[in-house]
Formats: sequence, C-alpha cells, structure tokens
Amino acid sequence: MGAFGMKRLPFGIFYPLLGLSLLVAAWALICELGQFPEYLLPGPAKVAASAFEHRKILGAALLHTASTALLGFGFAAGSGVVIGSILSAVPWLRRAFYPLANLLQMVPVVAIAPMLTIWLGYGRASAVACATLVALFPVIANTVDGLRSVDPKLRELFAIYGFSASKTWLRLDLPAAAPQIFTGLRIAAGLSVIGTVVGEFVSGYLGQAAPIGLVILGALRESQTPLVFAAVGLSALVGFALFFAVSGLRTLCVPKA
Amino acid sequence: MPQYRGNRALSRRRFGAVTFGALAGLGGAACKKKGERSLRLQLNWLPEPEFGGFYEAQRLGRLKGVELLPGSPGVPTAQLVASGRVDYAVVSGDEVVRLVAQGADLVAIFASFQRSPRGMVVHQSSPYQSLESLWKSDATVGIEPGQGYVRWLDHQYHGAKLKRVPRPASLATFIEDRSFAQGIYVFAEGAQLVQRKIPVRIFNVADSGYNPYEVVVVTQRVRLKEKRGEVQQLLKDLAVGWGSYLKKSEPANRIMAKLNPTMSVDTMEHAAQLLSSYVQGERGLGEMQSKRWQTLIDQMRLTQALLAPVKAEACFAPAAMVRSRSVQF
Repeated sequence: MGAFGMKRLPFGIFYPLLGLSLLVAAWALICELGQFPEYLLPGPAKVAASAFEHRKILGAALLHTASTALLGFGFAAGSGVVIGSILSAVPWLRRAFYPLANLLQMVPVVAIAPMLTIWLGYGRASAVACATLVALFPVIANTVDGLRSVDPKLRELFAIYGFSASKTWLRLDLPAAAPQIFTGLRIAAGLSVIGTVVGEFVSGYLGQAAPIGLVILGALRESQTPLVFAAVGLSALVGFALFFAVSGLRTLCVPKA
Repeated sequence: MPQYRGNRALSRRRFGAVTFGALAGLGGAACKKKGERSLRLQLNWLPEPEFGGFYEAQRLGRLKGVELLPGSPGVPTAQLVASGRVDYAVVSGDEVVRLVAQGADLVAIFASFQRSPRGMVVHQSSPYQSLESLWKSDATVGIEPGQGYVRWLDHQYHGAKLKRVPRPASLATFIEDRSFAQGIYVFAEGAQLVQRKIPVRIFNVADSGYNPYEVVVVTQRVRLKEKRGEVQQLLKDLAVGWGSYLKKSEPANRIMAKLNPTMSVDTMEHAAQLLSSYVQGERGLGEMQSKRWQTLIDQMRLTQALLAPVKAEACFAPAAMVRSRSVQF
C-alpha cells in the first residue's frame, strides 16, 4: 500500500479529491472572511442545503441533462471518428473540407442554438444537436492527426500481406491513432455538456422535469444564487463523469507505451 | 540555435512591450476614471423604446455625468447595484422584492411604467379568446423561466396542461408556428408583429390582476441617504425625459436605433405610440404607490415566489419623500 493508501483509489482519484477539498475549503474561507450576502456568493454549506432542498428538481434535471449530453457525445464521437477517418483517407476531401470543419469550433454556439430550435423544434433533439456540434471538431481533428501519424511503412507492410483498406483501418490505423482519438474524446466530453446546457437554455421544456440549463435560468431570474451554484455544480459533475468514463475506457483500450 | 535565441529574445521584447502597453493603457484609463468618474446607470435590455425617456433625457442635456450602460439578456442588474458595481440600474419590481427579502441594500426610486407591459400573444386564428382559456389549454407557450407572472397565472388558472418552453429570443418561432403562444412586452414585440401585419391577439397580463411596477430604477438605500441631491436630480431628469419622449419620440429613437441597429426607427416609433398609455398613470411620471408594492408582495407570498415577509416601504422610496428634505431614510 502506498502513502495514504493512494494506490487503492481508482484512476488516481486521490489528488483530484484533494484538489477539490482544498478548493471548497478556500471557497468557504473566502465566504466566511468576506461575509458576502447569499445572493452574491453563497458558501458551500448554503449551496449544499439548497441542493438538498431542491433535490427532486435537481435529480430530474441531472438525469435529463446527463442523458442528453451522453447522446450528444455519442453522436460526436461516432461521427467524428468516421468523418476524421474519411478525411484522412481521401486527400482531396481533407483539403476541401478539413478547413471548413474548423468552422464548427468558430461558430458561437449561443447563436446557433436558437436556430437549431427553429429547425428541429423544442425538446431533446435540439439540445443533442447542439452538444454534437460543439463536441464534434476535437474528435475530427484528433482522429485526422492520429491517423496521419501512422507509420507509412506499416501501411506498406499491411498492403504486402494483402489486407484490405477496411481491415487496415481496423487493425492498424485505429489502434495506432487511438491515443490521439481518446485525447479528442476527452475534450469532447466536457464540450458536450456545455453544448447541452446551452441548447437547453433555448429548447428545453420547463416544469418539474426541466433540464439543468432551465433550472439555472429560472434560479437566476428568481435570485436563488445557491440553487444556481448547485445546478452549475451538477452540470460540472456530468462533465467529470463523462471525462472519467472516457479516461477509463482509454486505460482499457490503449496499452501503455 | 542563434536564430532561435534571437526569435525568443524578440518575442520577449514584444511580450514586454505589449504588457507594458496594456498596463499603461489600463493605468491611464483608471486615472482618467478616477478624475472624472461618471455615474453609471445599467439598463436591463438593449436600447429600445422602454428606455425612451432615459435617452431623451440625455439628448436634452439632462442626466449630466450619467452614463447609460445598455444591457443584454441575463445581465444581473439588481445584483450589480446591490454590490455597488453600478450606481443605478433598471430592475423589475419582483426582483427588488426578492433581493430586499434577502437583505440586499436596494430601493426603487422611479417606475418607468404605471401599468405592466407584459403580455401573451397568440395568432388570431388560434382558439384562445382570453388569457384564462390559453392558460387552461395544452398549448405550447414561450415564457421566461422564473418570471413572477407565470407563477401568478398558474395560481389563477392552474396551467397544468400547458407545455412551457423558454421564450425565444426572436419572433421567428411564433410567426412560423400558428399554435405557439409567447410572452412579450406589448409595445416591443407587439409593435413588431403589428408592423409585419401578422394578425394576432394580445392579452395583457395586468388584466389578470398581476400588475407590478415592471421597470423600476433602483439604487442603494445608503446612496439615497448620503446623496439625496443627486437622486433628486436624477428623478427630475427622468421625468423630464419621459415627458418629452411622450410628446416627440423620434429624436431619441434615432439615437437608440444607432445603438441597437436590430430595431428600426419605424418600429421604435410604432412602439413609442403604444407605450404612452403604460407610462402615464393617475400620478406623476415615475411615481409609485405603497399599495401597489404591497399587492405585489402579497401575490408573491401567495404563489410562494417569496418565502420571507417584506414591507412595501422597504422596497421603494416615494418620490415625495425623496424630494422632501426633512424625511430621513
């Protein structure tokens, strides 16, 4: 057993927990010293109390937003790897469309979200589309870079042994590019939550099962700052969960060098 | 290698120059501000006719030394005043009540509208003939989450079947979807719809009994105590501005259209005609009554938008009291 039992904790979670604890302690100290009113900066205890008080609303919101973000992330991951692979395999397509793919990260999502609602209607579809759009580019970019860095000699070897293009992609390209693809997926994990919440701001349904984005908007309007913090914390939690899930998958899929 | 060092040295020099320039600029700006600091009045929306009196006052040479800061969706104006980041701001009445209940140092000093301009719009072809029939239906309505009037309408008409979505930033969804209903400012979006010749039916939320001072100017109570002359002058300037805007709105509308090019002067002119009846009331421009505040507080308590009790007098300062030299806040 290592110091403080660190080695028994999965994914080296000890240090992130330590960092989080220090951050929360600093936040509590700042609130205590500054004596800020609750509507400007609530302390962690107030936020926790508000989260408990509104647990039903927050629970439903968490489920809603997490499932939407997961769908958006899934679409971005799947289509990003496919698009990246096609762009990497066909040079003229890459030259024509890769610069355009950059547009995905340059278009302000807050401006696009209302348009998506007009095109796709209210509800989950618009938020999923928003999350997918925001999370797509890092997956495409990292897939293209990863696939283009595969050793050409290995490709020649696969050709000599008569591997088809699809088999070469599956057995050589993807495993070789996996570290970079996973880097893109980890970035996309956080972005998909941001895209989801922005999408929810304009396309979600209000009510008892409102998503996190609308809980934030409602609480802001009602000056319930502790609830705003609790809802923002929940959305961060969704991002963290996705990030750690991708990191775990990477540990399983990518052998250490 | 030497070239690398050279580039690095160059970039360091550039970095140093840029940093120095930025710091010098910031320092200069700070010094300038220290010397001639103007009062800041934060608006809670883009320059539109709902602020016509403000821009007209400025055009007339009133509001000297007051900087009007245009707002944007979601700008937390009440918190900005309560924290002292700005001196005055435009806030809605229910926001004032909520924050005063939480101990915020806020007080309303001027009400732009004597009647709440909130409304719900439906297409004329829709089956809804009243706010009540709309609210009891299963229509999809675009509303702002957390708005006090929504709680009130739910309390009055039990809108259990309504499908609620966030109010779209534009009218595109409403125009496209004939079954859609949307929360509006009667003279803002209402004017745009009339101008586009879209046949609509508009229901005033005020008719349901929820009629708060929707657009009020607030400041810190401590400012009212310590800078009474400044507050008195501001109230006078705003009343003059609104009075002049109601007589002739075009000059101020031209100024606002330059600041907010998304709304044409024509639309602003149309809106200005509509808003006249909302600005003028039984009393003088900008004045407020204790009983209106009390009604709002009671309604907020009834709908559980407000859990702690608040006194109406804690939320606003009557103009007569602000003008009087003998009354202490």
